[in-house]
Amino acid sequence: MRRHSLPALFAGLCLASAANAADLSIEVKGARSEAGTLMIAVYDSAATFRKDGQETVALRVRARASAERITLSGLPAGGYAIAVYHDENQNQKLDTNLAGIPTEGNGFSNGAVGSFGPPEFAAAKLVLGASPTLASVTLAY
Amino acid sequence: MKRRDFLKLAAGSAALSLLPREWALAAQDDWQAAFHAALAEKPWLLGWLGVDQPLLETEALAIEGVWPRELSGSFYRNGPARHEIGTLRYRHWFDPDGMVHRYAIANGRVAHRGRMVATQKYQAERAGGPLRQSYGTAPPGAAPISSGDAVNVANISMLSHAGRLFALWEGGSPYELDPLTLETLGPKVWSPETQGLPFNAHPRKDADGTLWAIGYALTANVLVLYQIGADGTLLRVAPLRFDRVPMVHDFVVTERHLVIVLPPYFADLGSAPTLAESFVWRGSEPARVVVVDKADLTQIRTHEMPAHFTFHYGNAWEDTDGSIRLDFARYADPKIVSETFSAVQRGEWRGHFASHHLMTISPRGAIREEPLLAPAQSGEFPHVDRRRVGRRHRKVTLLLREAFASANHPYFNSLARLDLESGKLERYAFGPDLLPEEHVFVPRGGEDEDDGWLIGTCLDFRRGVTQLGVFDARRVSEGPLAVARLPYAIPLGFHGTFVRA
Repeated sequence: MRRHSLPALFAGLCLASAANAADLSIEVKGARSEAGTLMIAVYDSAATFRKDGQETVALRVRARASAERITLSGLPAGGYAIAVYHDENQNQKLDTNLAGIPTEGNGFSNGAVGSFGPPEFAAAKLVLGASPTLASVTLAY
Repeated sequence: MKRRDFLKLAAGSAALSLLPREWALAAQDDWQAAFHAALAEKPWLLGWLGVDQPLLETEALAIEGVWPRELSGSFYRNGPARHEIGTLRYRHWFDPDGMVHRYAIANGRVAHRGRMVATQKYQAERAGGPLRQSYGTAPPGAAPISSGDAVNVANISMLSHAGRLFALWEGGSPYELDPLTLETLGPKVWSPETQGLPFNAHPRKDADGTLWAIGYALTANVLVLYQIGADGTLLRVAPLRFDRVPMVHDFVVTERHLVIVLPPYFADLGSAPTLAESFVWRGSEPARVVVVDKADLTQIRTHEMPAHFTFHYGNAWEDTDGSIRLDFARYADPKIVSETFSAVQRGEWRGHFASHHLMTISPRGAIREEPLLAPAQSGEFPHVDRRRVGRRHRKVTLLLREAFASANHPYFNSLARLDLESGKLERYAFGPDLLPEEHVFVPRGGEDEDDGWLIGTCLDFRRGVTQLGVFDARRVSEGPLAVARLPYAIPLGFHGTFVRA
């Protein structure tokens, strides 16, 4: 996941678009420490889901033990899935063990959990339309 | 932990039912109802009833006979304990959360403490979270299995290494415990690259204290080899990649090699509601024998042999001609896992037993097998003098199921010492109402493999109590020197280890 150029911390992000939907708020819960950063990524399709550099929005915010809420404005209406990980050692990647299993806290929108791996886009997908939407992601370690 | 969760019982008090009474009144799923109906007919099913207490303690066990005063230390055991949660009854013996036990032995007296392992799963469920999946059970609405440690129940065996104590599973991390209180300290992280990786329940320790372990990672099709120094630090880790990695529970070491036999028992992940049901036996395919050079973990030779299934090995050694020899409990197929250990959870016994065999692997890969027991004798839980690991051993301790022994149950009924050189089998038949568990050899001090004791537990299902027995290894057939009785029944478990005081 790359760092988005927009300032992220508590900022309402405005992404210019013709047919904007309502605000999308992302709440990240369960950070076990305040070390490092929370890496938050929003994807708009199964084809781009979890692919580095193909995020619709990628944000990094300082990790906080209390719930972290970020509001995105100006996203086009549509389906989105959110993936978050806690980059505690700040090496800008989700660390994994030899079998490819994450060793840093991570979580997805809808509380989606994969079977023997990450979830599918469809399981984490939420639909953003005319009403403001809150997506909650709980980190698991 | 709340004080009211503690259950302290004085020795000699009446056996207590450890299951909450209201469960009998609660709405029951089919398996729970079937099991409890069967239990009324088959009292030996007490071994699979389960407990749900975080802690069990008895300060002084009632002793019958004379407990050897020279035998002092801690005998640790582990096994599935929480067979039922509310109206859910687990559908495979491998599923229930693990409870570890310490029998503290000193001056001819024995104290017991049993404590649930506070795994991530156990803590999340106790805190009111949704029940998680396990090997053979998918509770209604449970999330998929996201990682091994999310469903780690730490319920198979115990390891003492470099002064630290661990409860072992095989699909995730070892859980470190306080050796005295048994309180859970947390999952062991050997290194960042091995964090959360499977670590098997049967590590093997060389004479110099080096510990070897394996782990099969089903999602990545990687067999992980661990070498851990006598000081407890990870020295080497090697991921062996295969097209498919099967269920592989145990392995052996010689002075120069690791030998891992891969049965053709593979999981088609996601193909069935539970992990257990996703395993498929491909009996027309060979078993693969992987021989790894301890000095260079990239030096590997692989041989093939007819399909069979094994949980447990006794030991292995290398002959002067370079042949590797090992003894093991051989099953024709894995029905012990796929049928026996599931059926018993609803109160049915569909026995599939192992026969103890000796395997010889020639330097060129020719593999020969010979049976070590008579056809009417089935053996399991092989255990050797741990000082002989990797070197030629003469004696192996086994539990036997003997067809001619009188027993009021279908489980193992005898304890045996098999002499691999003479073929002589010395054995002791337990009483008809006793379900014996693994017995381990504890050396008295001399080098002789017979100079010591065998120590192990039995469930007396008539009295409704678990007992710890000690045998003179030279005189097994004479029966136990002493028996220490608990005032309660512990569900049947798997493996233990003795740590000298």
